[in-house]
Amino acid sequence: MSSEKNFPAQTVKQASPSQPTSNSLAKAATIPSELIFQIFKYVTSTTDLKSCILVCKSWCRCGVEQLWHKPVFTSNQSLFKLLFTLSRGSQTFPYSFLIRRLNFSFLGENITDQILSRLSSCERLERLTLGGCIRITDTGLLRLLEKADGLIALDVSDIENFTDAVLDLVGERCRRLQGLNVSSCKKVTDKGIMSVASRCRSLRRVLVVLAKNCPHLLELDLTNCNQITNGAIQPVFEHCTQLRELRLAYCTHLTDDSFIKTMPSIFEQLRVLDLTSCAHITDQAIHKIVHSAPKLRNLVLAKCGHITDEGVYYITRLGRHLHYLHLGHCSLITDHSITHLARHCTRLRYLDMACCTQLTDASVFELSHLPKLRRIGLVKCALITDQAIYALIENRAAAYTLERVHLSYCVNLTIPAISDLVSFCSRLTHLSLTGVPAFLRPEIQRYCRLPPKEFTPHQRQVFCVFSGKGVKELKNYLNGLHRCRVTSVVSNNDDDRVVQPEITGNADVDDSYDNSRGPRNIRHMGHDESPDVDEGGANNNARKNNAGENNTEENNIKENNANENNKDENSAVKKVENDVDQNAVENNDINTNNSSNTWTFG
Amino acid sequence: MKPILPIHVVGVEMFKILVDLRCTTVRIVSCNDQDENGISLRALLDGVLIFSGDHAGNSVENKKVTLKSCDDVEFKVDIPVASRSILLKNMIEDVGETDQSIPLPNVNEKVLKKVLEWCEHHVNDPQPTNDDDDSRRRNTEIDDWDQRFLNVEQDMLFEIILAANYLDIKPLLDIGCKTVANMIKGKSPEEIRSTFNIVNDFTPEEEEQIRKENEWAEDR
Repeated sequence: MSSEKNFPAQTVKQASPSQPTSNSLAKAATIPSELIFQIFKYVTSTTDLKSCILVCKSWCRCGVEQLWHKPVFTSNQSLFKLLFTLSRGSQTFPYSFLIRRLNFSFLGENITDQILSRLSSCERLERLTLGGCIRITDTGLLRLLEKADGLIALDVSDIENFTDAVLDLVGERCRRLQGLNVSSCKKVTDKGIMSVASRCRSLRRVLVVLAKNCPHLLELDLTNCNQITNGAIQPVFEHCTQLRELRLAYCTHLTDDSFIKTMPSIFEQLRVLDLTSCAHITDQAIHKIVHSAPKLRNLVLAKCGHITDEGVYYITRLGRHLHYLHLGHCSLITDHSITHLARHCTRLRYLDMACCTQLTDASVFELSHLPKLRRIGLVKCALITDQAIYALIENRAAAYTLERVHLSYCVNLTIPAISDLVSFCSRLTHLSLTGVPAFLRPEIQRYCRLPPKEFTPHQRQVFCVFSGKGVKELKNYLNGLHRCRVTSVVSNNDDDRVVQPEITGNADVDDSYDNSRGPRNIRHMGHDESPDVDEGGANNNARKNNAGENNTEENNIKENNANENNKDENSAVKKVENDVDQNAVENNDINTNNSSNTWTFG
Repeated sequence: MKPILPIHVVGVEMFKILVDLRCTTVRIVSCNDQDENGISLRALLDGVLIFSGDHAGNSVENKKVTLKSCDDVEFKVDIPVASRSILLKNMIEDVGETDQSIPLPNVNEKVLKKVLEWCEHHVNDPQPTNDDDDSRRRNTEIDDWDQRFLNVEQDMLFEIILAANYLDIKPLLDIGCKTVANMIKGKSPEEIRSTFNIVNDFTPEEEEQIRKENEWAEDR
């Protein structure tokens, strides 16, 4: 394709001033090419520009790129002339690389797959408009988009014959895509849109058309579309009133206005709403959401740091509809609202309150009454003590239903309480105790899972997660250690709970173990006399742990599932939803819930 | 007392005080409660009292800078006029007050005079920003004064374009380029060559190939 001719390759920046001219030196010929370039920007007519490139070599080099940047065709004839140039063996310039924008909407049905195939060498295409080119099918589009890595905008509206395969390719290759118009593309399904939306993070303009043309859309996943603003979400609320699932995680530009101003007052089909990291959201948005979607079942507000107790009070209005609530990193929340939540949303199955650092045992006391609670996340709720654990198991309901318990960095927990937890929660399949000092001992950690490979030595040191078989082994070990204590708990005698001599008497126990659990024991034996000392100790520990691992969410992911890939995470999320659905029907199948621990955010 | 002060940050309160002080002319560059260094109005006021004593009447408006063309002709120019050129503006800001002339090795007396004429006429125009690049491009209109100003011999026109480019005066460069583009309009390659006295350096074969390859291009 590249020329053997020497003229385009010349590096001369300036027409040679030594050119002999008839009279004097032509000033125009001494102008550097950057200025000729500037002048050509004002040459708006294609015909004029074509004349310019035929003036001399230097003008040709300056003008040819502009001429080919965005070729406009008025007739089939001119298009075929261009295709002929592209197919020529020796071209003066690599023309196909110069083409950045193509608009065929004027030629409409004259455009065929064959024409698109002949343009497949245009690897630097940025904007492609094929609206109304109704004869096009997958074949042509796939060929043309094969190498179009730099595509920013794609308009394929009204083309009825292409399928998700094209959007899959777009999602795969065109990561910089910002605009996509697929209106009236009847064969495109959720899958294709998801494929684009999940991977093209710059997407901005797809929504409007999507919303207007698909009023029956049931699920919309815009996770990571962080360019989305209030304006873009408005048509979704306006047109897609049947929406059942809406995922807006990491759409960080969204504010309260998205909901207060644009969400219709009746949006009652909505069951799943994910607002992870929509950090501008406040209680006012929650108020509106709960009002509009009173049957919301899953609500994810992780990292919505402005949410306060007031927001949680609004959430409690969802009552028994609410099954799934994630409040991780909503650190303003206190026991007051969680108490209220536990009393009103009695069907809660999944609750995450990681890093809600103000929560105390009082919250867990209330939550232990939830008859269906399967999963509770209390990572870094450093005020939680053994009392909370005892509450969980003393209430038979929770003891029978709990499957996954996350207690990492709840630094006050001790062996006796956890020993009881694993003994009494017969369905327990997952228990995380990372960074809990009492458990950072080789004889306990040998039952835990292997830390993920990418962990630092310190992270490995504090890693303590038990799942499946590990939970059973831990149970057997702890039971052997405290056989006599178990009976004492069954008899429900508070004074016997902490059997200090037995533990310290064990040859395996080292000093650090004793120190770390010291304050709790004092408190137990002395019955609550110095909470200040206690909390101070907890905070210190929490800080120490924080320094080593500054992101709980990350740890959660790593703990739960070494696979951090976004795509997999999303699919896991999907799976969780399915699981929840199934479980709602057949309440007893433990195995279906295997993947629910992947429901975390990074 | 008639101090003309180059105040960079002036709040409403401070403005009142300046009026009280009978500072009849104040050049307000921007208005804020605090300047970028967090200096409050009060602190600024203290500065003004000292400043007005030392530098009364010594404002930017009255300051001049000397420019020297490549053929050694000096021009004494008001700083705001010279500052239409981004190149000169930055130089003046970097060097500060100086009696030395600024040499402009790429511009001769005739052209510099012409360029400064334009700068003087446009001294109060808002500074162009980078983001209106597109809007400038779309607009091929040239206002009457500029049209008359550029109604010069062709060589002079290109000299002005070259100088505007060198001195970084975007609006002048733009109108110069637009004027040349207007001269191209509707002409054949041969007519363009003769208009600008350009030699055709294509071989007949090369010219024919370019013509063929770009045959598709035509106006709507």
